[in-house]
Amino acid sequence: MSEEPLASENPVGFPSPGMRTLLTLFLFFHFFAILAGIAGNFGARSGLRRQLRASPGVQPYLHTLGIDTGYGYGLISNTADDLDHLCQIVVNPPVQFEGTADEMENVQKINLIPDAARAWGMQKRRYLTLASWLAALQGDNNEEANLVSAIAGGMLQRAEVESGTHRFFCRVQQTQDMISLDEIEPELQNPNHPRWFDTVYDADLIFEDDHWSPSKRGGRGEMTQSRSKSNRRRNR
Amino acid sequence: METLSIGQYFSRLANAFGKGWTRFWYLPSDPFPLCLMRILVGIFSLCFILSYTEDLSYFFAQGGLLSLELTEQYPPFNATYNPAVFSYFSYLHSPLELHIAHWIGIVILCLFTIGWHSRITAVLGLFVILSYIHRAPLITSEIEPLLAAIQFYLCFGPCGARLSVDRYLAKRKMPIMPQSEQDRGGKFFSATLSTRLIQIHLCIIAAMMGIAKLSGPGELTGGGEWVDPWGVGEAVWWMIARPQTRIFEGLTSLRDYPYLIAAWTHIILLVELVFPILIWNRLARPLVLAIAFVAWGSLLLISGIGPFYALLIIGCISFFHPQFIEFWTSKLMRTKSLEQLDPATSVQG
Repeated sequence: MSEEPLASENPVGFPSPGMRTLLTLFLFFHFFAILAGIAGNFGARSGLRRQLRASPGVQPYLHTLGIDTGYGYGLISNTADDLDHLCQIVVNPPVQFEGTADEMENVQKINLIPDAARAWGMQKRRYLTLASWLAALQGDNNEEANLVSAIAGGMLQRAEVESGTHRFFCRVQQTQDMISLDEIEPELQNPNHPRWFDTVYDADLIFEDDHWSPSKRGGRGEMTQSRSKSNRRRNR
Repeated sequence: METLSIGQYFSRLANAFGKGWTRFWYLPSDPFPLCLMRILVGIFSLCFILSYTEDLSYFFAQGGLLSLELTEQYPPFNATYNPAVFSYFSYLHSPLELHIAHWIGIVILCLFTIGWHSRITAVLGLFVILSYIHRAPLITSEIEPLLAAIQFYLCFGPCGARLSVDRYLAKRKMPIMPQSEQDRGGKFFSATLSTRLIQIHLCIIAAMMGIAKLSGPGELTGGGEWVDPWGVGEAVWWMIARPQTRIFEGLTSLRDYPYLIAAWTHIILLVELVFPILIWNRLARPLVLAIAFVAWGSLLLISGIGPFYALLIIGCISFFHPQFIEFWTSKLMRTKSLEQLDPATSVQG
């Protein structure tokens, strides 16, 4: 793209003036839509940003082309969103089952993420994203229940479990602070040790009216900072 | 100094801006970088949809994880009815139907990658990618919007003009270039338009990533003291420490080098903030690209969204000079053909 003077009104190889006008209008609208979509992405949400996003045609345009950029491009923000969420079903748990580490060792479990999913692949990212939706929808009972019902239904169908009463867990895997492993209790040096996991959602699954309905037991149910002071104390 | 009236000033300003705008967007250019991007984006898109193969029925079939009703319930996709948001998977329910559509999509993307009727297969490829995105927005992440955007921009340009089956067939059919193409010198205004769209989009994304890291999360509930991981220089460690997306276990030993982690964190932040500005300076461009490759290459390994950073790096090809890419491509191909000609060379390595 070297610099060349535009000698005539319509130099060789350039589009006609009419075409240029049309393309310019498209470019203005396209980048306005992109910037309006991005505007609501970070920091405090102001009224102007919301209005920009709601400008006529912006959202339909971005959605149609699949270029809506409403994701966490900050990558790490010190909220629960940073952490990996994992969904698991315990098939026909015994009575008085609380989901403790010892109890979990002796029951049949179904994991949302297939064992073969690779850490760097797109497949695992999809499952992690789906589980994080569940954490994000905590508190809205209707949406939360619908999502759990769908996820649990799919997991149980894949495992060919058609009846019974089961337990659905969504857990969040805490990560270690930037301290030496020597300073951590030996058993906690394994990142998959049960103490690194918090349960954010816990429900019984009951089959009724052709689908699995969750009956919520508990869970943290709120967005908190991922690394509270108590976590730091626990690790040290 | 020349004295201008206010009217003359604005007239000259408008004229200069118009010429600059026209030159920036429409000056015909060599489509070589675009053609190389077609191949790389095509391979990336193939990997993207091939990664669905195992889970296709699990996700989309009747009674699967992501029923159509569920997809339609969640914002922002249920915010307004938009008939243009279309996915052919919404009309297919049995595993057989889903797999037939899936493999047709793979064939289309293969044809796009090799550059067969690129103008058509680029648009069809976009349609294929969007069908996956629109059918399951609940499982999309940062990767999909960037992929869709680059594929959309490739539809504008002559991305099959070089390094393609189209080119090979055209050469075989007509060994001597027609007069109209000779006049044009193998340059196209649509190549510039497409390349510029990708460049500007990348700059917007880079700026947004930098600002998002500086500004932290949009909403914080639960009170308490909030620690800014990018400010304190620990963000890179927090990514390395996530067990589910950890590629190299060995990187966790970096916990003993806090200054290294802090430098790494701040370099990433710096690159994303300066990239959209300094990339337009010709002298600074190679350096900015080199540092961006290192920073984004490192995030490719630790961020958990490696494919997103791979795509950003592919997108950076749009900033390369066509002759630079052509030189290295021809050098690579010549080396390969020499190796093919002389078996001794390849045997001896």
